[in-house]
Amino acid sequence: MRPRKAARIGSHLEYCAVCQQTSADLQSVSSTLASVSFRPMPESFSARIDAAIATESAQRVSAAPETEAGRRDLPERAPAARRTRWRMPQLPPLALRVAATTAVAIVVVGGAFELASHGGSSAGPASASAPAAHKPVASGFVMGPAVNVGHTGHTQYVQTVTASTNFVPAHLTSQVQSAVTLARHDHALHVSAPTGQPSAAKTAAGNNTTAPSAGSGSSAGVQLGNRSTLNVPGHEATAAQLAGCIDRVAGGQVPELVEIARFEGQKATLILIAAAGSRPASAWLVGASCSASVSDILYHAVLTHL
Amino acid sequence: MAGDPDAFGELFSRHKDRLWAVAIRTLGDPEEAADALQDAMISAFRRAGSFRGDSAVTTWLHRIVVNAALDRMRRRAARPTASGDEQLLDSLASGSLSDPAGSTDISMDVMAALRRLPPDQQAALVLVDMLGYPVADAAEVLGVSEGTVKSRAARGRARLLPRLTHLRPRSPAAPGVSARANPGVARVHADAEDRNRSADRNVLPAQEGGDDEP
Repeated sequence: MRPRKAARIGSHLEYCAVCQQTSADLQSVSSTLASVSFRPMPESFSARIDAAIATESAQRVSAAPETEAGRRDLPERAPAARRTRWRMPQLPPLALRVAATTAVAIVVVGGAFELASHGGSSAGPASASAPAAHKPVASGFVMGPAVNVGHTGHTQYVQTVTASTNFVPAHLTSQVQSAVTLARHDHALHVSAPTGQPSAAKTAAGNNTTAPSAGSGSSAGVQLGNRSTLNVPGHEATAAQLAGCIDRVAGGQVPELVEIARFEGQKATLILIAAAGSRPASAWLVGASCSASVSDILYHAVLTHL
Repeated sequence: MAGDPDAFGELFSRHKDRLWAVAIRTLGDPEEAADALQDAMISAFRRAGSFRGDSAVTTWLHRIVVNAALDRMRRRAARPTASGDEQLLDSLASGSLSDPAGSTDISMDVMAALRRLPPDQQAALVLVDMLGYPVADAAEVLGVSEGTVKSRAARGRARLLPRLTHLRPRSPAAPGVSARANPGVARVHADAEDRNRSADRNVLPAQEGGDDEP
Protein backbone atom coordinates (compact mmCIF):
# COMPACT_ATOMS: atom_id res chain seq x y z
CA MET A 1 0.00 0.00 0.00
CA ARG A 2 1.29 3.38 -0.84
CA PRO A 3 2.13 5.58 2.15
CA ARG A 4 -0.38 8.22 1.18
CA LYS A 5 -3.15 5.67 0.90
CA ALA A 6 -2.19 4.08 4.19
CA ALA A 7 -2.16 7.46 5.89
CA ARG A 8 -5.56 8.31 4.47
CA ILE A 9 -7.04 5.05 5.68
CA GLY A 10 -5.36 5.45 9.06
CA SER A 11 -6.76 8.87 9.57
CA HIS A 12 -10.20 7.65 8.52
CA LEU A 13 -10.07 4.85 11.06
CA GLU A 14 -9.27 7.32 13.79
CA TYR A 15 -12.68 8.85 13.65
CA CYS A 16 -14.84 6.23 11.92
CA ALA A 17 -16.21 3.97 14.63
CA VAL A 18 -17.87 1.59 12.18
CA CYS A 19 -14.66 1.01 10.30
CA GLN A 20 -12.77 0.54 13.57
CA GLN A 21 -15.20 -2.15 14.56
CA THR A 22 -15.03 -3.81 11.17
CA SER A 23 -11.27 -3.76 11.26
CA ALA A 24 -11.30 -5.34 14.70
CA ASP A 25 -13.78 -7.95 13.53
CA LEU A 26 -11.60 -8.86 10.58
CA GLN A 27 -8.64 -9.24 12.87
CA SER A 28 -10.71 -11.53 15.04
CA VAL A 29 -11.31 -13.73 12.00
CA SER A 30 -7.57 -14.28 11.80
CA SER A 31 -7.48 -15.16 15.48
CA THR A 32 -10.36 -17.57 15.08
CA LEU A 33 -8.67 -19.27 12.15
CA ALA A 34 -5.46 -19.58 14.12
CA SER A 35 -7.31 -21.24 16.97
CA VAL A 36 -8.34 -24.25 14.90
CA SER A 37 -6.14 -27.20 15.65
CA PHE A 38 -5.89 -30.68 14.26
CA ARG A 39 -4.35 -33.82 15.58
CA PRO A 40 -0.95 -34.76 14.21
CA MET A 41 -0.74 -37.05 11.24
CA PRO A 42 -1.61 -40.60 12.29
CA GLU A 43 1.29 -42.99 12.13
CA SER A 44 -0.64 -45.21 9.76
CA PHE A 45 -0.84 -42.38 7.23
CA SER A 46 2.86 -41.71 7.58
CA ALA A 47 3.66 -45.37 7.06
CA ARG A 48 1.37 -45.45 4.06
CA ILE A 49 3.19 -42.57 2.43
CA ASP A 50 6.56 -44.09 3.24
CA ALA A 51 5.41 -47.27 1.56
CA ALA A 52 4.20 -45.32 -1.46
CA ILE A 53 7.58 -43.66 -1.81
CA ALA A 54 9.31 -47.04 -1.51
CA THR A 55 6.99 -48.51 -4.12
CA GLU A 56 7.56 -45.60 -6.43
CA SER A 57 11.29 -46.02 -6.02
CA ALA A 58 11.08 -49.72 -6.82
CA GLN A 59 8.88 -49.10 -9.82
CA ARG A 60 11.23 -46.52 -11.21
CA VAL A 61 14.19 -48.85 -10.89
CA SER A 62 12.31 -51.63 -12.61
CA ALA A 63 10.89 -49.39 -15.30
CA ALA A 64 14.31 -48.18 -16.34
CA PRO A 65 16.39 -51.31 -16.75
CA GLU A 66 18.58 -49.66 -19.35
CA THR A 67 20.08 -47.35 -16.82
CA GLU A 68 23.04 -48.38 -14.81
CA ALA A 69 21.03 -48.34 -11.62
CA GLY A 70 18.48 -50.69 -13.08
CA ARG A 71 20.86 -53.27 -14.41
CA ARG A 72 21.41 -56.21 -12.16
CA ASP A 73 24.31 -57.53 -14.16
CA LEU A 74 26.44 -54.52 -13.40
CA PRO A 75 28.52 -54.30 -10.27
CA GLU A 76 27.18 -52.03 -7.64
CA ARG A 77 28.55 -48.55 -7.72
CA ALA A 78 30.61 -47.25 -4.89
CA PRO A 79 28.49 -45.47 -2.29
CA ALA A 80 30.20 -42.16 -2.89
CA ALA A 81 29.27 -42.24 -6.53
CA ARG A 82 25.71 -43.29 -6.02
CA ARG A 83 24.38 -40.12 -4.45
CA THR A 84 25.19 -37.69 -7.17
CA ARG A 85 21.85 -36.69 -8.58
CA TRP A 86 20.16 -35.10 -5.70
CA ARG A 87 21.03 -34.42 -2.13
CA MET A 88 19.18 -33.13 0.80
CA PRO A 89 20.64 -29.86 1.95
CA GLN A 90 21.47 -29.13 5.56
CA LEU A 91 20.73 -32.54 6.97
CA PRO A 92 22.78 -34.07 9.74
CA PRO A 93 24.56 -37.26 8.80
CA LEU A 94 22.70 -39.38 11.27
CA ALA A 95 19.55 -40.84 9.77
CA LEU A 96 16.41 -40.85 11.82
CA ARG A 97 15.99 -44.02 13.75
CA VAL A 98 12.43 -44.19 14.84
CA ALA A 99 11.31 -47.19 16.84
CA ALA A 100 9.62 -49.82 14.72
CA THR A 101 5.95 -49.82 15.34
CA THR A 102 5.40 -53.51 15.22
CA ALA A 103 8.71 -55.21 15.66
CA VAL A 104 9.04 -57.56 18.57
CA ALA A 105 12.09 -59.75 18.39
CA ILE A 106 15.36 -58.41 17.11
CA VAL A 107 18.47 -60.39 16.34
CA VAL A 108 21.27 -58.77 14.42
CA VAL A 109 24.37 -60.41 13.03
CA GLY A 110 26.50 -59.60 10.01
CA GLY A 111 26.57 -60.66 6.39
CA ALA A 112 25.28 -59.95 2.93
CA PHE A 113 23.76 -61.60 -0.10
CA GLU A 114 23.89 -60.59 -3.68
CA LEU A 115 22.31 -62.43 -6.48
CA ALA A 116 24.22 -62.29 -9.71
CA SER A 117 23.60 -64.08 -12.95
CA HIS A 118 26.23 -65.39 -15.30
CA GLY A 119 24.21 -66.33 -18.31
CA GLY A 120 25.26 -68.02 -21.46
CA SER A 121 25.95 -71.57 -20.55
CA SER A 122 23.32 -74.16 -20.92
CA ALA A 123 22.43 -76.17 -17.90
CA GLY A 124 20.46 -79.05 -19.22
CA PRO A 125 16.73 -79.39 -19.00
CA ALA A 126 16.40 -76.77 -16.34
CA SER A 127 17.55 -74.11 -18.75
CA ALA A 128 14.50 -74.52 -20.92
CA SER A 129 12.11 -74.18 -18.10
CA ALA A 130 13.58 -71.61 -15.81
CA PRO A 131 10.70 -69.45 -14.68
CA ALA A 132 11.72 -65.98 -15.60
CA ALA A 133 14.93 -65.87 -13.70
CA HIS A 134 16.12 -62.25 -13.62
CA LYS A 135 13.35 -61.22 -15.90
CA PRO A 136 12.16 -57.66 -15.40
CA VAL A 137 8.49 -57.51 -14.60
CA ALA A 138 5.98 -54.77 -15.15
CA SER A 139 6.85 -52.95 -12.00
CA GLY A 140 8.92 -53.14 -8.90
CA PHE A 141 10.94 -56.30 -9.13
CA VAL A 142 13.39 -58.21 -11.20
CA MET A 143 12.66 -61.88 -10.98
CA GLY A 144 15.23 -64.06 -9.31
CA PRO A 145 15.50 -67.82 -9.41
CA ALA A 146 12.69 -70.10 -8.40
CA VAL A 147 14.03 -71.89 -5.37
CA ASN A 148 12.91 -75.35 -4.41
CA VAL A 149 12.46 -75.37 -0.67
CA GLY A 150 11.22 -77.92 1.76
CA HIS A 151 12.11 -81.49 2.52
CA THR A 152 12.04 -84.50 0.31
CA GLY A 153 8.51 -85.33 -0.58
CA HIS A 154 7.20 -81.93 0.43
CA THR A 155 9.08 -79.43 -1.66
CA GLN A 156 7.71 -76.28 -3.17
CA TYR A 157 9.09 -73.75 -5.56
CA VAL A 158 9.42 -70.20 -4.35
CA GLN A 159 9.88 -67.47 -6.90
CA THR A 160 12.46 -65.07 -5.53
CA VAL A 161 12.67 -61.48 -6.60
CA THR A 162 15.39 -58.86 -6.48
CA ALA A 163 14.73 -55.24 -5.72
CA SER A 164 16.52 -52.12 -4.64
CA THR A 165 14.61 -51.85 -1.40
CA ASN A 166 16.74 -50.85 1.55
CA PHE A 167 14.86 -52.27 4.50
CA VAL A 168 15.25 -50.38 7.73
CA PRO A 169 13.77 -51.28 11.10
CA ALA A 170 11.82 -48.05 11.45
CA HIS A 171 9.88 -48.61 8.26
CA LEU A 172 10.02 -52.35 7.99
CA THR A 173 6.28 -52.92 8.25
CA SER A 174 5.40 -50.46 5.54
CA GLN A 175 8.27 -51.60 3.35
CA VAL A 176 7.27 -55.23 3.64
CA GLN A 177 3.64 -54.35 3.04
CA SER A 178 4.66 -52.47 -0.06
CA ALA A 179 6.82 -55.32 -1.30
CA VAL A 180 4.03 -57.84 -0.79
CA THR A 181 1.53 -55.63 -2.53
CA LEU A 182 3.86 -55.15 -5.44
CA ALA A 183 4.69 -58.83 -5.63
CA ARG A 184 1.03 -59.79 -5.58
CA HIS A 185 0.39 -57.26 -8.28
CA ASP A 186 3.12 -58.81 -10.35
CA HIS A 187 2.09 -62.36 -9.47
CA ALA A 188 5.59 -62.82 -8.23
CA LEU A 189 4.84 -64.73 -5.08
CA HIS A 190 5.69 -68.32 -4.50
CA VAL A 191 4.45 -71.13 -6.62
CA SER A 192 4.34 -74.66 -5.48
CA ALA A 193 4.84 -78.04 -7.03
CA PRO A 194 5.13 -81.49 -5.53
CA THR A 195 8.57 -83.00 -5.58
CA GLY A 196 9.38 -85.12 -8.53
CA GLN A 197 6.45 -83.89 -10.58
CA PRO A 198 6.71 -81.49 -13.45
CA SER A 199 4.86 -78.41 -12.40
CA ALA A 200 3.53 -75.25 -13.86
CA ALA A 201 5.23 -72.26 -12.40
CA LYS A 202 3.49 -69.07 -13.29
CA THR A 203 5.93 -66.33 -13.93
CA ALA A 204 5.42 -62.70 -13.25
CA ALA A 205 4.91 -62.11 -16.91
CA GLY A 206 2.00 -64.47 -16.87
CA ASN A 207 3.65 -67.29 -18.79
CA ASN A 208 3.33 -70.85 -17.70
CA THR A 209 6.61 -72.67 -17.78
CA THR A 210 7.33 -76.20 -16.85
CA ALA A 211 9.41 -76.68 -13.79
CA PRO A 212 11.67 -79.67 -13.62
CA SER A 213 11.99 -81.95 -10.71
CA ALA A 214 14.95 -80.02 -9.55
CA GLY A 215 16.32 -80.98 -6.24
CA SER A 216 14.63 -84.30 -6.21
CA GLY A 217 15.93 -86.28 -3.32
CA SER A 218 17.64 -83.33 -1.78
CA SER A 219 16.40 -80.98 0.83
CA ALA A 220 16.63 -77.96 -1.40
CA GLY A 221 17.26 -77.18 -5.01
CA VAL A 222 17.30 -74.32 -7.44
CA GLN A 223 15.44 -74.04 -10.67
CA LEU A 224 17.71 -72.11 -12.96
CA GLY A 225 18.58 -71.99 -16.57
CA ASN A 226 21.93 -70.40 -16.02
CA ARG A 227 24.58 -70.38 -13.39
CA SER A 228 22.94 -68.12 -10.91
CA THR A 229 25.08 -67.56 -7.91
CA LEU A 230 24.95 -65.67 -4.70
CA ASN A 231 27.86 -63.33 -4.79
CA VAL A 232 29.59 -62.19 -1.68
CA PRO A 233 32.95 -60.46 -1.72
CA GLY A 234 35.52 -63.19 -1.58
CA HIS A 235 32.96 -65.88 -1.68
CA GLU A 236 30.54 -67.42 -4.12
CA ALA A 237 27.76 -69.64 -3.07
CA THR A 238 25.28 -71.35 -5.29
CA ALA A 239 21.68 -70.34 -5.14
CA ALA A 240 21.01 -73.68 -3.49
CA GLN A 241 22.49 -72.02 -0.45
CA LEU A 242 19.56 -69.65 -0.45
CA ALA A 243 17.16 -72.55 -0.56
CA GLY A 244 18.91 -74.10 2.41
CA CYS A 245 18.84 -70.78 4.19
CA ILE A 246 15.10 -70.46 3.61
CA ASP A 247 14.52 -73.93 4.95
CA ARG A 248 16.58 -73.22 8.01
CA VAL A 249 15.15 -69.82 8.82
CA ALA A 250 11.55 -70.54 7.92
CA GLY A 251 11.55 -73.85 9.70
CA GLY A 252 9.91 -75.69 6.85
CA GLN A 253 7.25 -73.08 6.24
CA VAL A 254 6.89 -71.79 2.71
CA PRO A 255 7.68 -68.07 2.54
CA GLU A 256 5.19 -65.72 1.04
CA LEU A 257 7.98 -63.58 -0.32
CA VAL A 258 11.73 -63.91 -0.76
CA GLU A 259 13.23 -60.64 -1.85
CA ILE A 260 16.92 -60.14 -2.42
CA ALA A 261 17.45 -56.57 -1.43
CA ARG A 262 19.29 -54.59 1.24
CA PHE A 263 19.07 -54.07 4.95
CA GLU A 264 20.41 -50.85 6.39
CA GLY A 265 22.58 -50.41 3.35
CA GLN A 266 24.07 -53.88 3.16
CA LYS A 267 22.96 -56.66 0.93
CA ALA A 268 20.41 -58.90 2.52
CA THR A 269 17.52 -61.18 1.73
CA LEU A 270 14.04 -60.77 3.11
CA ILE A 271 12.21 -63.95 3.95
CA LEU A 272 8.59 -63.29 4.79
CA ILE A 273 6.36 -65.89 6.38
CA ALA A 274 2.71 -64.92 6.05
CA ALA A 275 0.37 -64.81 9.00
CA ALA A 276 -1.62 -67.96 9.56
CA GLY A 277 -4.40 -68.35 12.07
CA SER A 278 -3.37 -66.68 15.27
CA ARG A 279 0.29 -66.63 14.24
CA PRO A 280 1.37 -63.21 12.97
CA ALA A 281 3.57 -62.69 9.96
CA SER A 282 7.31 -62.83 10.46
CA ALA A 283 10.03 -61.16 8.49
CA TRP A 284 13.64 -62.25 8.54
CA LEU A 285 16.46 -60.37 6.94
CA VAL A 286 19.43 -62.63 6.48
CA GLY A 287 22.97 -62.02 5.38
CA ALA A 288 25.20 -63.73 2.86
CA SER A 289 26.34 -66.50 5.12
CA CYS A 290 22.88 -67.83 5.64
CA SER A 291 22.64 -71.43 4.55
CA ALA A 292 21.21 -74.74 5.59
CA SER A 293 23.69 -74.80 8.47
CA VAL A 294 24.11 -71.09 9.34
CA SER A 295 21.27 -68.68 10.01
CA ASP A 296 23.09 -65.32 9.69
CA ILE A 297 19.98 -63.42 10.72
CA LEU A 298 20.42 -59.68 10.49
CA TYR A 299 16.98 -58.77 11.74
CA HIS A 300 13.78 -60.46 12.70
CA ALA A 301 10.45 -58.80 13.24
CA VAL A 302 7.01 -60.08 13.99
CA LEU A 303 4.61 -58.04 11.90
CA THR A 304 1.34 -58.04 13.72
CA HIS A 305 -0.34 -55.62 11.31
CA LEU A 306 0.59 -57.31 8.10
CA MET B 1 15.51 -42.64 -10.69
CA ALA B 2 15.24 -38.98 -9.94
CA GLY B 3 15.90 -39.07 -6.24
CA ASP B 4 17.56 -41.11 -3.58
CA PRO B 5 14.68 -42.94 -1.88
CA ASP B 6 16.45 -43.09 1.46
CA ALA B 7 17.24 -39.40 1.43
CA PHE B 8 13.75 -38.59 0.27
CA GLY B 9 12.22 -40.70 2.99
CA GLU B 10 14.22 -38.78 5.53
CA LEU B 11 13.20 -35.53 3.92
CA PHE B 12 9.59 -36.53 4.26
CA SER B 13 10.11 -37.51 7.89
CA ARG B 14 11.54 -34.12 8.64
CA HIS B 15 8.77 -32.13 7.01
CA LYS B 16 5.76 -34.34 7.34
CA ASP B 17 4.27 -32.58 10.34
CA ARG B 18 4.23 -29.19 8.66
CA LEU B 19 3.11 -30.61 5.35
CA TRP B 20 0.34 -32.50 7.09
CA ALA B 21 -0.71 -29.29 8.82
CA VAL B 22 -1.12 -27.64 5.45
CA ALA B 23 -2.99 -30.54 3.90
CA ILE B 24 -5.40 -31.17 6.75
CA ARG B 25 -6.25 -27.49 7.16
CA THR B 26 -6.80 -27.07 3.48
CA LEU B 27 -8.91 -30.16 2.97
CA GLY B 28 -10.37 -30.80 6.41
CA ASP B 29 -10.82 -34.50 5.86
CA PRO B 30 -7.91 -36.62 7.12
CA GLU B 31 -8.23 -39.33 4.50
CA GLU B 32 -8.33 -36.81 1.73
CA ALA B 33 -5.45 -34.89 3.27
CA ALA B 34 -3.41 -38.09 3.45
CA ASP B 35 -4.21 -38.85 -0.18
CA ALA B 36 -3.18 -35.35 -1.20
CA LEU B 37 0.01 -35.58 0.80
CA GLN B 38 0.81 -38.95 -0.73
CA ASP B 39 0.19 -37.63 -4.24
CA ALA B 40 2.38 -34.67 -3.45
CA MET B 41 5.23 -36.75 -2.10
CA ILE B 42 5.19 -39.08 -5.07
CA SER B 43 5.17 -36.07 -7.36
CA ALA B 44 8.04 -34.52 -5.44
CA PHE B 45 9.99 -37.76 -5.56
CA ARG B 46 9.56 -37.95 -9.31
CA ARG B 47 10.60 -34.36 -9.75
CA ALA B 48 13.44 -34.37 -7.25
CA GLY B 49 15.96 -34.67 -10.03
CA SER B 50 14.80 -31.40 -11.51
CA PHE B 51 14.91 -29.49 -8.26
CA ARG B 52 17.51 -26.81 -8.78
CA GLY B 53 17.54 -25.17 -5.42
CA ASP B 54 15.93 -21.95 -6.62
CA SER B 55 13.85 -22.08 -3.47
CA ALA B 56 14.26 -23.80 -0.16
CA VAL B 57 13.35 -27.46 -0.09
CA THR B 58 10.69 -26.67 2.46
CA THR B 59 9.09 -24.12 0.19
CA TRP B 60 9.28 -26.49 -2.73
CA LEU B 61 7.58 -29.27 -0.80
CA HIS B 62 4.94 -26.92 0.54
CA ARG B 63 4.17 -25.71 -2.94
CA ILE B 64 3.65 -29.25 -4.19
CA VAL B 65 1.43 -30.11 -1.24
CA VAL B 66 -0.64 -26.96 -1.62
CA ASN B 67 -1.10 -27.61 -5.32
CA ALA B 68 -2.13 -31.20 -4.66
CA ALA B 69 -4.63 -30.02 -2.06
CA LEU B 70 -5.98 -27.32 -4.35
CA ASP B 71 -6.41 -29.85 -7.12
CA ARG B 72 -8.47 -32.00 -4.80
CA MET B 73 -10.51 -29.05 -3.67
CA ARG B 74 -11.31 -28.12 -7.22
CA ARG B 75 -12.25 -31.68 -8.07
CA ARG B 76 -14.39 -31.79 -4.97
CA ALA B 77 -16.09 -28.59 -5.99
CA ALA B 78 -16.98 -30.16 -9.29
CA ARG B 79 -18.35 -33.22 -7.54
CA PRO B 80 -21.46 -32.22 -5.64
CA THR B 81 -22.12 -35.58 -4.03
CA ALA B 82 -20.37 -35.12 -0.73
CA SER B 83 -20.99 -31.84 0.99
CA GLY B 84 -18.35 -30.12 3.03
CA ASP B 85 -20.50 -30.52 6.11
CA GLU B 86 -20.67 -34.27 5.60
CA GLN B 87 -16.92 -34.46 5.32
CA LEU B 88 -16.54 -32.36 8.42
CA LEU B 89 -18.77 -34.77 10.26
CA ASP B 90 -16.47 -37.51 9.06
CA SER B 91 -13.54 -35.53 10.41
CA LEU B 92 -15.27 -35.23 13.73
CA ALA B 93 -16.09 -38.90 13.80
CA SER B 94 -12.51 -39.80 12.97
CA GLY B 95 -11.25 -37.58 15.75
CA SER B 96 -8.97 -35.62 13.45
CA LEU B 97 -9.98 -32.31 14.87
CA SER B 98 -8.00 -31.60 17.97
CA ASP B 99 -10.13 -30.52 20.87
CA PRO B 100 -7.86 -29.43 23.65
CA ALA B 101 -10.38 -27.10 25.19
CA GLY B 102 -13.69 -28.41 24.02
CA SER B 103 -13.48 -26.30 20.90
CA THR B 104 -14.48 -28.89 18.36
CA ASP B 105 -17.71 -27.12 17.55
CA ILE B 106 -15.83 -23.92 16.86
CA SER B 107 -13.32 -25.73 14.71
CA MET B 108 -16.08 -27.37 12.72
CA ASP B 109 -17.81 -24.07 12.18
CA VAL B 110 -14.59 -22.48 11.06
CA MET B 111 -13.75 -25.30 8.69
CA ALA B 112 -17.26 -25.31 7.28
CA ALA B 113 -17.06 -21.59 6.62
CA LEU B 114 -13.58 -21.93 5.15
CA ARG B 115 -14.76 -24.55 2.72
CA ARG B 116 -17.17 -22.09 1.18
CA LEU B 117 -14.35 -19.85 0.04
CA PRO B 118 -12.68 -20.06 -3.33
CA PRO B 119 -9.67 -22.40 -3.16
CA ASP B 120 -7.15 -19.63 -3.70
CA GLN B 121 -8.51 -17.66 -0.76
CA GLN B 122 -8.59 -20.76 1.39
CA ALA B 123 -4.97 -21.50 0.61
CA ALA B 124 -3.91 -17.97 1.50
CA LEU B 125 -5.79 -18.07 4.79
CA VAL B 126 -4.47 -21.50 5.69
CA LEU B 127 -0.89 -20.40 5.23
CA VAL B 128 -1.09 -16.89 6.63
CA ASP B 129 -3.75 -17.01 9.33
CA MET B 130 -4.01 -20.64 10.35
CA LEU B 131 -0.34 -21.53 10.17
CA GLY B 132 1.14 -18.09 10.70
CA TYR B 133 3.46 -18.09 7.72
CA PRO B 134 4.85 -14.70 6.75
CA VAL B 135 3.14 -13.28 3.70
CA ALA B 136 6.41 -13.44 1.77
CA ASP B 137 6.74 -17.16 2.47
CA ALA B 138 3.12 -17.79 1.58
CA ALA B 139 3.60 -15.90 -1.65
CA GLU B 140 6.57 -18.05 -2.54
CA VAL B 141 4.67 -21.23 -1.74
CA LEU B 142 1.66 -20.14 -3.76
CA GLY B 143 3.75 -18.73 -6.57
CA VAL B 144 2.09 -15.34 -6.53
CA SER B 145 3.03 -11.87 -5.40
CA GLU B 146 2.81 -10.78 -1.78
CA GLY B 147 0.11 -8.33 -2.77
CA THR B 148 -1.96 -11.13 -4.21
CA VAL B 149 -1.60 -13.14 -1.03
CA LYS B 150 -2.72 -10.15 1.02
CA SER B 151 -5.60 -9.54 -1.30
CA ARG B 152 -6.76 -13.12 -1.23
CA ALA B 153 -6.43 -13.32 2.53
CA ALA B 154 -8.30 -10.07 3.03
CA ARG B 155 -11.12 -11.09 0.74
CA GLY B 156 -11.28 -14.44 2.43
CA ARG B 157 -11.51 -12.84 5.88
CA ALA B 158 -14.20 -10.53 4.65
CA ARG B 159 -16.20 -13.45 3.36
CA LEU B 160 -15.70 -15.37 6.55
CA LEU B 161 -16.67 -12.49 8.80
CA PRO B 162 -20.44 -12.85 8.58
CA ARG B 163 -20.19 -16.60 8.85
CA LEU B 164 -18.13 -16.50 11.98
CA THR B 165 -19.93 -13.70 13.76
CA HIS B 166 -21.32 -16.07 16.35
CA LEU B 167 -17.82 -17.23 17.24
CA ARG B 168 -16.29 -13.83 17.78
CA PRO B 169 -15.30 -13.17 21.34
CA ARG B 170 -17.06 -10.24 22.89
CA SER B 171 -14.20 -7.85 22.47
CA PRO B 172 -14.54 -4.39 23.83
CA ALA B 173 -15.95 -2.17 21.20
CA ALA B 174 -13.86 0.48 19.70
CA PRO B 175 -13.94 3.72 21.72
CA GLY B 176 -17.36 5.21 21.53
CA VAL B 177 -18.73 2.31 19.54
CA SER B 178 -21.35 -0.22 20.36
CA ALA B 179 -23.83 -2.04 18.24
CA ARG B 180 -26.63 -0.41 20.10
CA ALA B 181 -25.22 3.04 19.70
CA ASN B 182 -24.12 2.34 16.19
CA PRO B 183 -26.59 0.22 14.35
CA GLY B 184 -24.26 0.47 11.43
CA VAL B 185 -21.96 -2.10 13.03
CA ALA B 186 -24.65 -4.74 13.03
CA ARG B 187 -25.65 -3.70 9.60
CA VAL B 188 -22.09 -4.18 8.39
CA HIS B 189 -22.20 -7.80 9.50
CA ALA B 190 -25.67 -8.44 8.23
CA ASP B 191 -24.94 -6.96 4.90
CA ALA B 192 -21.48 -8.36 4.49
CA GLU B 193 -22.48 -11.68 3.06
CA ASP B 194 -24.73 -10.09 0.51
CA ARG B 195 -21.93 -7.80 -0.50
CA ASN B 196 -19.55 -10.72 -0.71
CA ARG B 197 -21.89 -12.54 -2.99
CA SER B 198 -22.22 -9.61 -5.28
CA ALA B 199 -18.96 -7.80 -5.37
CA ASP B 200 -16.63 -8.84 -2.56
CA ARG B 201 -14.78 -5.59 -2.94
CA ASN B 202 -16.00 -3.27 -0.31
CA VAL B 203 -14.66 -4.63 2.95
CA LEU B 204 -11.11 -3.51 3.47
CA PRO B 205 -9.17 -5.52 0.95
CA ALA B 206 -7.37 -2.36 0.01
CA GLN B 207 -6.20 -1.97 3.59
CA GLU B 208 -4.23 -5.17 3.17
CA GLY B 209 -2.39 -3.64 0.29
CA GLY B 210 -3.46 -6.34 -2.09
CA ASP B 211 -5.49 -4.71 -4.76
CA ASP B 212 -3.81 -6.39 -7.64
CA GLU B 213 -6.47 -9.02 -8.01
CA PRO B 214 -10.03 -8.38 -9.04
